[in-house]
Amino acid sequence: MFLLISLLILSCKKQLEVKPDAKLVTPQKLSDLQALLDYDPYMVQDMGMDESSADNYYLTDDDYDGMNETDQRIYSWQKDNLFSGPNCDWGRGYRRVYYANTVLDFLPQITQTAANTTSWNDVKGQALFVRGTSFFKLVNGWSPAYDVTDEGTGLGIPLRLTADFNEKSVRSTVHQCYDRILADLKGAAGLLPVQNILKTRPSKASAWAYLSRVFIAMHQYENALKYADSAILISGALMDFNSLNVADNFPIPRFNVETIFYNFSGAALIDPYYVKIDSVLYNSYDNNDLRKQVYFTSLPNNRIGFKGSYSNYEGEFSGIATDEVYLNRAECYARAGNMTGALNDLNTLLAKRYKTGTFVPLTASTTSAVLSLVLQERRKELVMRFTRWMDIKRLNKEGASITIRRLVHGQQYNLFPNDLRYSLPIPEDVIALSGMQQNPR
Amino acid sequence: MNKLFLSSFLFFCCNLLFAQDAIIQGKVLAYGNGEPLGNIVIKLKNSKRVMVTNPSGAFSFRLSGLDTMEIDNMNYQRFRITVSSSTQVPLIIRLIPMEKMMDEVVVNTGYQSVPKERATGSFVAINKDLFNQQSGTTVLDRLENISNGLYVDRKTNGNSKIVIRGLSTIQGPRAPLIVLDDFPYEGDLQNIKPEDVESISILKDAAAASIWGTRAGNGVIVITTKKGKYNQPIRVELSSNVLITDAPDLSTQQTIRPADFASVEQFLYAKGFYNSQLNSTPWLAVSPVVELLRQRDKGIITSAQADAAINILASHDLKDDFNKYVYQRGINFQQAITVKGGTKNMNWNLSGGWDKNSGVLDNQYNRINLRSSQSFRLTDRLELTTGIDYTQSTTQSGRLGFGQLRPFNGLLPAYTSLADANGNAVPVMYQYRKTYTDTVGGGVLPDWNWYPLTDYANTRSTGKLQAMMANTGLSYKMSKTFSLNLKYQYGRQQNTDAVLYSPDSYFARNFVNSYTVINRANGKLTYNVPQGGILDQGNGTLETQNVRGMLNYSKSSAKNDITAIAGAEYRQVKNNYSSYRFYGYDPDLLTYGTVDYKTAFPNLLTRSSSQIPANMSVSQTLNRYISFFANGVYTFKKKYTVSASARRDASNLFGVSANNRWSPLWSTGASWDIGKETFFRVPVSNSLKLRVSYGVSGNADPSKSAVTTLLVTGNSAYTQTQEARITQFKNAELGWEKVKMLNLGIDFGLWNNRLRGTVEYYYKKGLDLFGTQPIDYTGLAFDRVTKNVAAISGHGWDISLNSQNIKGVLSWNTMLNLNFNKDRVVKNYLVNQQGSNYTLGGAISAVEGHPVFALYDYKWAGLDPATGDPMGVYQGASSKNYTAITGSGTLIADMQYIGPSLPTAVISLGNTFIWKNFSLNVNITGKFGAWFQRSSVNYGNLFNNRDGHTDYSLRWQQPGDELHTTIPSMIYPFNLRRDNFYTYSSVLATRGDFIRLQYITLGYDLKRKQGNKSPFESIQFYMNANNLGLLWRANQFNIDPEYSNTIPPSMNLAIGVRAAF
Repeated sequence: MFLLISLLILSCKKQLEVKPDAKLVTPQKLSDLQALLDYDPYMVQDMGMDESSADNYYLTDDDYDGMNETDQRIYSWQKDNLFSGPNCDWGRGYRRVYYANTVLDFLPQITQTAANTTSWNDVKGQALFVRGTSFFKLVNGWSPAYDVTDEGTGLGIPLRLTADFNEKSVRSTVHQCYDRILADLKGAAGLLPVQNILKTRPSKASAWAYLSRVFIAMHQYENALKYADSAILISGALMDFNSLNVADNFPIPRFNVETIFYNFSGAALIDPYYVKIDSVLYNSYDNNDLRKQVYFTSLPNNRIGFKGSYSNYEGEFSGIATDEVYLNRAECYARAGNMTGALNDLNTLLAKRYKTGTFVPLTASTTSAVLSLVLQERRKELVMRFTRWMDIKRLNKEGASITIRRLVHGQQYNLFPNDLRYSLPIPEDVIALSGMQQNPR
Repeated sequence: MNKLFLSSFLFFCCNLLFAQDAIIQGKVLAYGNGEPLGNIVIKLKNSKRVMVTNPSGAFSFRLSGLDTMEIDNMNYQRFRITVSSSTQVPLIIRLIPMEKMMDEVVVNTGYQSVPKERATGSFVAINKDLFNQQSGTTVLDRLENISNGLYVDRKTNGNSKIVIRGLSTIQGPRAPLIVLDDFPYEGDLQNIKPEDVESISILKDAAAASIWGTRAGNGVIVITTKKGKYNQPIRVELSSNVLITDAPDLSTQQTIRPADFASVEQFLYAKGFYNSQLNSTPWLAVSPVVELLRQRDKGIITSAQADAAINILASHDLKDDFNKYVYQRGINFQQAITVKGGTKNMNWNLSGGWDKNSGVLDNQYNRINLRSSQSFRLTDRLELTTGIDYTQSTTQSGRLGFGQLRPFNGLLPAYTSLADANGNAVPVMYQYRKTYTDTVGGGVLPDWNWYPLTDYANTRSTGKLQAMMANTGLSYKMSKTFSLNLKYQYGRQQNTDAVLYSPDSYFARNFVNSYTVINRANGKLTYNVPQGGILDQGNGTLETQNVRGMLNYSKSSAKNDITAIAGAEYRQVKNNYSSYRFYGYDPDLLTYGTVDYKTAFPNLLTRSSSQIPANMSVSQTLNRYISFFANGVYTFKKKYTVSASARRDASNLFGVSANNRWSPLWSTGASWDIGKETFFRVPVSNSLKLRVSYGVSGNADPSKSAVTTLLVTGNSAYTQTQEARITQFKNAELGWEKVKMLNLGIDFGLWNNRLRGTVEYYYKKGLDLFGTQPIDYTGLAFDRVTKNVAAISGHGWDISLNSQNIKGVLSWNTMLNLNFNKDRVVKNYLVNQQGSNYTLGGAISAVEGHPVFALYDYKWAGLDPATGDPMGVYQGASSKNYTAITGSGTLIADMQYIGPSLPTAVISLGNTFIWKNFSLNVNITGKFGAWFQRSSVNYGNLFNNRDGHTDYSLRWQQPGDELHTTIPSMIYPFNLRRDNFYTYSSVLATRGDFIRLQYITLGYDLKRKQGNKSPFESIQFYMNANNLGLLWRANQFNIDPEYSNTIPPSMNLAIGVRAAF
């Protein structure tokens, strides 16, 4: 009896150390960390607040009525209560950051050996890439546009760099945010492989392409040009729209040659099922421009729908693709006064967009004309591509005076240039729990 | 009250008839061990003489003529025999000890058996006779209407239907612990055959249950099976019954009338409701009425033809088809046999059972059950027990019932026909429109129609279960007072569940067709999903091991009685499960095809691409518990009793620091038998006992682990590499929930026990309950963490009365159980305060100050007299701002608290009449205090899902209607939030009180009389009718409150026989 009890006590500890569920793993191996980075619902499905707030689309009143209250508030640019709970876009963004940080926290415990060094670097590069791009999307949503002249006052987002949830969230400045984004993306570019097994995992070109986007947002065109160049060097192929079947429900295939990094957003407001396109934008396409048929579809009541997502049927594409990098480079050339370079890039791209034999290369004689051509084509090429919100913010900083409007049940809502509402409100519950400063709206 | 009715002694006849007077001499012995019984009073009824046996049990008297000898001793069953001069002498009389006297009920805690007399805690003992008044295949079903303090909850979505003494937890498991033959039972409860049950004890308070530690917080149900006894002649028990269940009454289902629905569809069609579907996704299914209207608009048929066809459609009721083709009478057959016996040193019990159930939907359940148990007295001090139990069962799915048989989305239109005039299955709308599926392949594709009437036969779910349990035990008497027990039990249950979609099933055909690619040029088909059937199969094993060592101490003297136990146990529960799917499966050849899971293929009709799902999973869980326990009871002068118990658990489920904390769960209790005091001289009252107990039990949740970090969820749909999610971070503090309970009780007997009863009051507190703490989700992938932070309290009364109203040739006994319970949330953080999160009633609301399950509704401000719009309250005024009311404009504090969703009073009343060989039991149950939300018309569901309600015809249609209806007008387009508001408004809150005639059992008992040559010792015929309907309900809407969202179970009738010989 007593022997039994003492035996039990001795074996107690050991017996109870076993995992209650075999599927529970503590991160110990590189493959565990890679599995976190491959978790589709977090890593492939993206936030949607920026495209949802932009003017690429509109909703009919009926569709608006069917939306959640928070989505309705996002759509009509209300001042508060746009986001709440961990599944809102703020939560989506930061849980990516949390996963990336978890990976980065555990990585030093795994010894780097000759055998594992490639995948070790790959995992670290992916984590840095995830964190950098997430910070970029978050700062683009919740902070004012990058202001070259103002280093200290722009309210950035909290830069969480470890997975310790006990740390308090504190807001940084916009400049600190961009510095961190650049550091993460450059770090990632150094570690990532030239090609990864699928486009849902980042590669060197992904990091470079994003760096060109980030530098554009920072108005640093020389750097943007450098990274766009590098990206095109290894991933410069373009789709010929003549080879697409315009009759398909979604003519552009997933993981097409232009896709450099794949992400999509399933946000309700921008669901292809609801999205309607403004007729002015639709009418701006030449009838020989295949994008008019590939991107858009006619709906009853003279409405135009959108079917041109690079993610095919899967929500809206929010990754990055070669066409954007060409446009980035064209813009950098134009701003640097290299008109030939800019027009070359534009014409390379557009030649693949027009019906075979109908394309007449664009020409222009002044830098400003070239730039406006580039920006015009950027507007037409990157529809529902998660660049518009950033473009409005950065271009209005330069005096582009873009005002966007919504019409809901006859009531008009306007968002004037540099409105405070270009910085979305941080979820109220997060503000209450963390004590962070809310964006003035 | 197990009665052994016959003494078995030998009876010899002889033909000595020469004398009138005779000397009758003989001996009185105890049955079984044959011990002589001295000092036994013998009465001779005719000559009115009395005598006493001497110490060796002998007696002798002179007899003239006939006389009747009678022995009426309280410790033995009454014995009576007619004696005459021809009676063979010596006459050996064997008296059968009373097995269990009325007041000497024994309760079993799973660790020891305790006479209820000496218990300080709250026990309910249920014996075979009461248990057997009902019929059925499972054990727990029968407990509901006869157990004090236990009820079955059919209204909330809580994790257990059985609740003992109300709730003790918010999020944690609320199921009571089931103990079968001394060890927790984890297997399928259907494996236990009711005929094997000897007795059931329900442990309700801490003094009774806390010996079970972290598993005891919700109460414990201890099931003890039949065993053999030493010194028992071979006894065979047979039982057989057939139970017939009526098809359900579909008229209870308040679904929209077919003609009403057809007119709604015509209205919607005219409004253009179906246009966007017909234009942009024309391949999606539409209802027959819409199809007709479409054909009319396209000029395929004339307007008159369409109207005529619609009129024919609308005159048909889908319910008729269900009555005619789907439901049938259910029949259950149940047979059982038990053989048991015992010699001086060995006893054994063998039993077997066979069940064959065929349900109202042609669903099948078959069970074979074999048990054997033996005990051996190896020496005077050492006893060995062994047992083995095997159950095999199979289940097979049947048809889909009303409301379950549904197309891809929504419900079938109320006028749908499942069969043509000849009763042949006809195709019915499912996912795709017939005009498309018939033409898309140009006639080369297999049939793409859905035939609901016959599809069930092609889509069979089957389950096979094999369960085995083996146990062995050694009991060693070390001395007069000490003994040692060792027990080991091994259990293994294996399940194989399969769903076979045969090649003809809609599921398989649809799957194959959807992924088929047609080469437009040559018409060739490429099947990306191979043609044939689809098989989903899952295999699960559950393995349990228990070891227990226990030291017993027991000492009895005139003044002091002490019993105590102490011991340790180790327990392991291992669960394995895996499931997989085969495409192109051929059930005859057992061959299957190969599939590309990586590529996304376009759907033949919709053109959208998706990957073929692999449907594979593997899981394993392993839980270990190590426990130490002790329990002691001390009684002084048979009047004053104190008891105490303590237990400590550790488990791999708990966090490190919870395991390391030495905080045992304990209880203590005391009782005072006033009835035995000399000063107790109260007229009419013959016994009185006071009890008090207090203690702490626990409630562990195997689904909450403290060590979790990652969970591998499968493969990424993109990279096909493993993907993992962070499920929990290290939560070292996480432990079990605690339940503290105080119990006060009075047991009494009046008028010489003609009225006996127990009144108990309890107060309990659930502490350290799993609750949520909010956290800034900027730093984590979660916005909350689970900690032991919440609390609830509950209190109530358990009253049980047993009366013997009439004694004599006709006897009438009444059993009344009255249970009152209220629970209140003391502390709980509400993650989201928006009122719309609390409208469900059946979900946990757990608002502080209210019950855990409570009904909240939007405040109702009547119908708008001008439009028939429902009006609510927003910012203190009546309002039609449905977006605000059903959105952030209504917080939980703005909602109307209607009342608890669980009953606060439960009664059961059983009356037993016995006349000669006949017995009649009538059981009535009632539940009071609960509220539910009744359903009504929801226009969104009506338009989109074809889900209508009879209230449709009572809706507001013109000004003035608001005076006699509260049902909103129909508007187009419908407004989802307007519908939501009405569906969850207080106008639909309904009282759930009811009284039900639960069952009636009629029995006819025959017992072998002295000298009768019948082969049967006893035989009983019985008839048991169950679910006899409501006697009273508080609502006037003809709704059975317990089944407001489902079809009430229909009446069933069992006819059976039990025999022993």
